[in-house]
Amino acid sequence: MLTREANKRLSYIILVVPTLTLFLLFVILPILYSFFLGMTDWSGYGAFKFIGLQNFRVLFADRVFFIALRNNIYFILASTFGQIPVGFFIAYLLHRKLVAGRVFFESMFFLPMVVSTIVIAILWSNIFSPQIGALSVFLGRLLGKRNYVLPWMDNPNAAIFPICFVLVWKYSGFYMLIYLSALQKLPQDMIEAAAIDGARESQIFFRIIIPVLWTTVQTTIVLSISGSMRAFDLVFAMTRGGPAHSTELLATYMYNKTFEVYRYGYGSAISTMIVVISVLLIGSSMWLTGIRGRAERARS
Amino acid sequence: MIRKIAVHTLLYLFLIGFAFLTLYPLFWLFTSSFKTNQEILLNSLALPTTLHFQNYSEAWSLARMGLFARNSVIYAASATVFTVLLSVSTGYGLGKFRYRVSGVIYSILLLGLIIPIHATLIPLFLLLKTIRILDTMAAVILPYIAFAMPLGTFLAATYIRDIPDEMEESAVIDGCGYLRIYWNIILPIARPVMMTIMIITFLNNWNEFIFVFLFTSSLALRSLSVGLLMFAGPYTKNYAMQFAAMVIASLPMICMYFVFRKPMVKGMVAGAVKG
Repeated sequence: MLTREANKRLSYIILVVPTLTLFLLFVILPILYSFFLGMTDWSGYGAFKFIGLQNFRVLFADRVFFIALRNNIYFILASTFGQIPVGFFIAYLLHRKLVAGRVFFESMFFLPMVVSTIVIAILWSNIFSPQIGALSVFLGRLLGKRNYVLPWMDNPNAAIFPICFVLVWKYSGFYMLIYLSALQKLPQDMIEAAAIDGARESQIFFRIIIPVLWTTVQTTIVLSISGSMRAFDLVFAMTRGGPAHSTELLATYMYNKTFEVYRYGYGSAISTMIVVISVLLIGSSMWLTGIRGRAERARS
Repeated sequence: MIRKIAVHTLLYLFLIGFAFLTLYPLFWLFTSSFKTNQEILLNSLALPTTLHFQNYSEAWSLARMGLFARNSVIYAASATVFTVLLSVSTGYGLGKFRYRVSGVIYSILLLGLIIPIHATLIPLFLLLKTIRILDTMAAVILPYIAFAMPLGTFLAATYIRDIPDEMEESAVIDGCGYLRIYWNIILPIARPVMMTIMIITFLNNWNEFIFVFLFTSSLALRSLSVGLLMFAGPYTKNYAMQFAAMVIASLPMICMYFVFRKPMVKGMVAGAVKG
């Protein structure tokens, strides 16, 4: 017979270890192994050499790597200055009951979130496409030109911006919901008291709501960074990184190098950079917003 | 007064405009799926003149959407069942057993919420190849479960921690083993959070793309997302069938959303805010 404590330990192991094993094996181990592979010249088959930081040296001279990095930063900017303000603004309107029909608007804005990114990507590339593109037809009518063709998706200098728009289109509803749930936790009596004392809507907004919501702002910025660094499906299904690598993201470029030209070592070095850059960006955004938070507290 | 009305009108206009921008593309997708290819090429903005259901039967059999739908259901459902059971067991272990190691395990799991998953793809591919399950259903289902564990465990642990200790203490005194407690007491009480985990996991797995794309290669193992991109990608000529296939892939999740809106939204927000 087992003692009570031994029994408890055994049960704990049975409850926790399967998950932990699965997670370490399929998530943590691959990340660490990827760091190692990034320092080899492996091509996917046969032997490979350990070449230290050589891959990274090549990477820092690789033009496409910087295009991809720039596009990831565009995604972060589109999320931070697109999705978050739009989501917040709508949440605020709905929450303060400045407009009616809350449940309707709330569920409609969230709808794109439940449709797969692949479907969204194909849908929008059809809207933007020169052949049947709904937008081409619409703009053609507006401008009074027959057979008007939208020039964006074929233009290496412009193609990333419609993709950023789709990003904002799909995820704004998600940020709206995060802010709605945060707004529900606001000290309602405080706002009412301020309103009775004659505070204007703008005063309530800047003096009460923003300070209280600051941690949510911080969270959503972290979310938009980690979400943007994870982006892959949207670009992969819309442009495959083209034309001429102009819409490549770090993740799609990693895919391209690894599974299309079989440079596993180089691809892994890109993977490593994705992790490093994510950690750096998330860390610095928390530090930056933390300063704002501290200043806010010091002032009040 | 006039200023207030003006502001009000502007706000409504903004919201309605935004709602239109959100809904019209989806509406356009839905109506286009009933048009003939000719009608789409002729005027992509017009409504269908007759409801052309043939697109759906073509997509279902010709573009193999029926097969892919079956695979998507198998992947999403089997991964979800394991995810829910493991989340609750791990959530129970980490939430109720006061061992110091719990905190460490919990932090490691939460890392999974911000890790860029694409950094794991190459080693994961090699691992699945080494254990000889590449291009089988297991190659998709096992990673699905592993990657869903952080969110599932987090939701379950937060819920189970709030269950009063007295409930299980009395069971312990009655001589109940901890695994019996998990099965007979925790699982029934945790039903609401299981529901949340189930819906979110199912949705995520259904819409997932890259694991199926990389870890399977036989046509017979592809899912809806991957099949869509193969047969109805941006370079297709049969737009009508493509739109029908896209509706087939999305409609189940849209229906699920309208049925389970509350738990879905709650779970997604809770998971996001922690991550």
